[in-house]
Amino acid sequence: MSVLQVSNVSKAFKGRLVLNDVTFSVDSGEILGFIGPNGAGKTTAIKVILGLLRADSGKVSIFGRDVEKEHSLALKSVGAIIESPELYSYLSGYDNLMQYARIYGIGEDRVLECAETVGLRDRIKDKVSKYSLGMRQRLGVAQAIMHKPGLLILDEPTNGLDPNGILDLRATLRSVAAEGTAVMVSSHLLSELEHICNSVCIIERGVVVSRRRLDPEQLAEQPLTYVFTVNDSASAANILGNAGFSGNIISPESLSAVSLKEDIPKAVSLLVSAGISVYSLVERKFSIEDAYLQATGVAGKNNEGGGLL
Amino acid sequence: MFKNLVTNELVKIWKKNSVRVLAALFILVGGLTMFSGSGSYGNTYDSVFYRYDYEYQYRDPDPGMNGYLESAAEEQRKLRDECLELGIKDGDWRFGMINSIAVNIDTIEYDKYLINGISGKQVSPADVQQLREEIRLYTETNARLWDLIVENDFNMYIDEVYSGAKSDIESFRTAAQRLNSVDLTGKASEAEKENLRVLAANCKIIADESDKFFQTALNAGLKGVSADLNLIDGVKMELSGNYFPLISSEDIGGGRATSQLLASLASESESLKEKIFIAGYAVANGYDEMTTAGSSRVVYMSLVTGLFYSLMALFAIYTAGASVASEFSRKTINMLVIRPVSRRMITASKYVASLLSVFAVTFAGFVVCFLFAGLINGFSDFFQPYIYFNGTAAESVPYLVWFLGKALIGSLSFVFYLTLAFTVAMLIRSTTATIVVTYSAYVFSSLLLLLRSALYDWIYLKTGVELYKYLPLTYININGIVFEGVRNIGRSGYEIGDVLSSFGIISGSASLGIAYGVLMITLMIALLYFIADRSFRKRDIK
Repeated sequence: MSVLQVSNVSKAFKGRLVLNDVTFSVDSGEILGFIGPNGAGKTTAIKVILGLLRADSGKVSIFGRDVEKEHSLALKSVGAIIESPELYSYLSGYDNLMQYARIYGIGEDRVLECAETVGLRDRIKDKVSKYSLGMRQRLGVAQAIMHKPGLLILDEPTNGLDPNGILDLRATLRSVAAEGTAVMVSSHLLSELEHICNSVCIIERGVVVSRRRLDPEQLAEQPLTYVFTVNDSASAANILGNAGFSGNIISPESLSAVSLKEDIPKAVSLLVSAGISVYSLVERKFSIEDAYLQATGVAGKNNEGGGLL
Repeated sequence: MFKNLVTNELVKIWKKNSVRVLAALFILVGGLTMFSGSGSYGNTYDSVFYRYDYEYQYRDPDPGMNGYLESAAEEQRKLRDECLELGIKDGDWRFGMINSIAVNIDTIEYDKYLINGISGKQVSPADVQQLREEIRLYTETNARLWDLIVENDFNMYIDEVYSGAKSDIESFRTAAQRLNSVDLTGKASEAEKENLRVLAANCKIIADESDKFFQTALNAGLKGVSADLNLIDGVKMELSGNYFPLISSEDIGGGRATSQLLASLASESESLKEKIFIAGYAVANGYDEMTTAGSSRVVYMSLVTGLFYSLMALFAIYTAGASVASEFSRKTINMLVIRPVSRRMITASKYVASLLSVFAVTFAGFVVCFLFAGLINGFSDFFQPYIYFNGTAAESVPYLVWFLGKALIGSLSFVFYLTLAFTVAMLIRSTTATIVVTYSAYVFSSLLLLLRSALYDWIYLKTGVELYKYLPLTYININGIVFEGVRNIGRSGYEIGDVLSSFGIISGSASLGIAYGVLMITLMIALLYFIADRSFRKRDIK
């Protein structure tokens, strides 16, 4: 079941189209990486989802409730951090959490439990103005998960977190997702998302250019990247390119090729037959970075003039 | 849910150090300012003699002046000692007469100083004669007043005042007859003849109207009780202080003078009728000394013109501005509007929390004032009846009830400025800009009201329509209206119809009453709130 459904949403600022017919969904238990270069429209999309901005057209529904028409009902089970979590710096961490706890009808016990979860129990009575960026981020996570939301939307949640904080966050997100919460994480740290997400949605210039799952079963059906170490990568690239493989020249002695697993013996055979010495062959897993590069066409651009396969 | 939202807003407002510091400062300063604003001429030794002590001690006299100053001071000190010997205490009704004697002593000593030629001024023998006559008259007056003080008989004092007033009336009547009988045939220009006719008519009007006041007062059975002291005295003062200079001024000619006089008399007549009703009520119920200066009641009355309301307006503007605009500037609004509550409810909770905060501070300011005033003047004053005129008859309520009721209505003024700040904050979303813009509007409201008054007056002159009575802006500073009285607002400096009424062109009530004023200011507040609410609901939060 789709927890979040974004359908054909468009939004323009002063005539400039920032979101163009954006459509995607997030299911229960899914951790979606929301990726895109700066200015792609990620934060705008999140603000539309959360009702901060009004879509010019299209519709956002959460648990089947229209965010615009049934604002309160739709957002009842949503937790979020937008950009950096903007908190009341003159209040203590506790007072900040209580601000939102009162709205959800949550008691002090749960507030302290969340403070414990994010590792802020000892400093919860301190003023937020005395918190480090990482501590504020933790507090932001605490307020987002406090009411056990069915949909969690996090914009750059690892900003300022130390390694322990990042590990804690990963564990927290996996834990809430395991309980059925749909999670949407926006970040520019692709490697970080790699560890957390099980699907990605890539947005560029306001358009969703890719939406795919990263589940192992699905990945098995995806073409993989193989890295060849050879004596002459340029000649090898020509041979593989003529045979219909796609990929990249990495260095004079190495190149990558994207291929289904069953086609690799054929590639090796072609190279060996042509007198190319193949020193090694390594399978690289499909990564979010690959998905991003594929979807945004950055890989293609990198190859321009470099001996396309 | 709404209660929780309001709690949240109250926490946010009151956890700000700046709000707490401002509130504490305003409560203390405002409360003490209210208290210290007590009447400077109460029934006390300090109020009567303080100004002389001050004057004689700190003025920088020429050597010749020293003699006059010292002798005047000496005479007044003697007067004070004699009063103390008589056992006259603060609050005694006789301080009015004691003050008159002190003023006369000052004049007598100055006249002596002129006669002795110490000032270096040329004083002719004729002047000396006149000064001696003046000294004799003042000395006689002082002796008569002192007799009254010693006798301590209030009825005797009233008779004295009343006979003085009757004498004034007679003098106006005689002047009117004399002016009418002057034979001007061939001896004066038409303008001079017209002037004399107007002057005679005015004298008659004054005499007749004054007589009516006294007859009404006497018919109400007021003679002989302290409650009518102010009534009788008020009429007498109006006669000698206002009307006499009016008819003797050079500007008396033409029809305008008569209309000016009639407008002034109509206004005074209304005022005095109210006093008669109030005094009659006091007589019927056996109340005493209802409006005597020196009681703590006078202290509280001063708050409307004091610093307190100004401070409260500033606090209201700061609170509302900070409550709304800082959410935008700190971007914390993002985290608030993504909650399962409507923006309408968020707006309402912020508004209610701001209002509660401002009222709490106002109330605390009153408490400070009441405590200080009560400790010094006595707490029993709070529960004495306050008599007021309801438009048709006199009624009474405990002073405290009356005061708090008026204060509540008066507080609509700073509710207005709070709402203005609230709306401006919603529109421009900057704390500093909100406070600067709204407080500037408050500070310059006097100027705006004056300009508006002039505009309305101009419209009146062109069309005959008294537009200012109906327009909402007239009632922004409603605290002035409720405390000073609706009837007076046309003459209170920058209120409605000021320009025309000061020339007597407009007469009668300058507004449509407190109820209409409350309705108007409430409508303005509602309109501003509507704009704030709509702006917050409809605009994106980027």
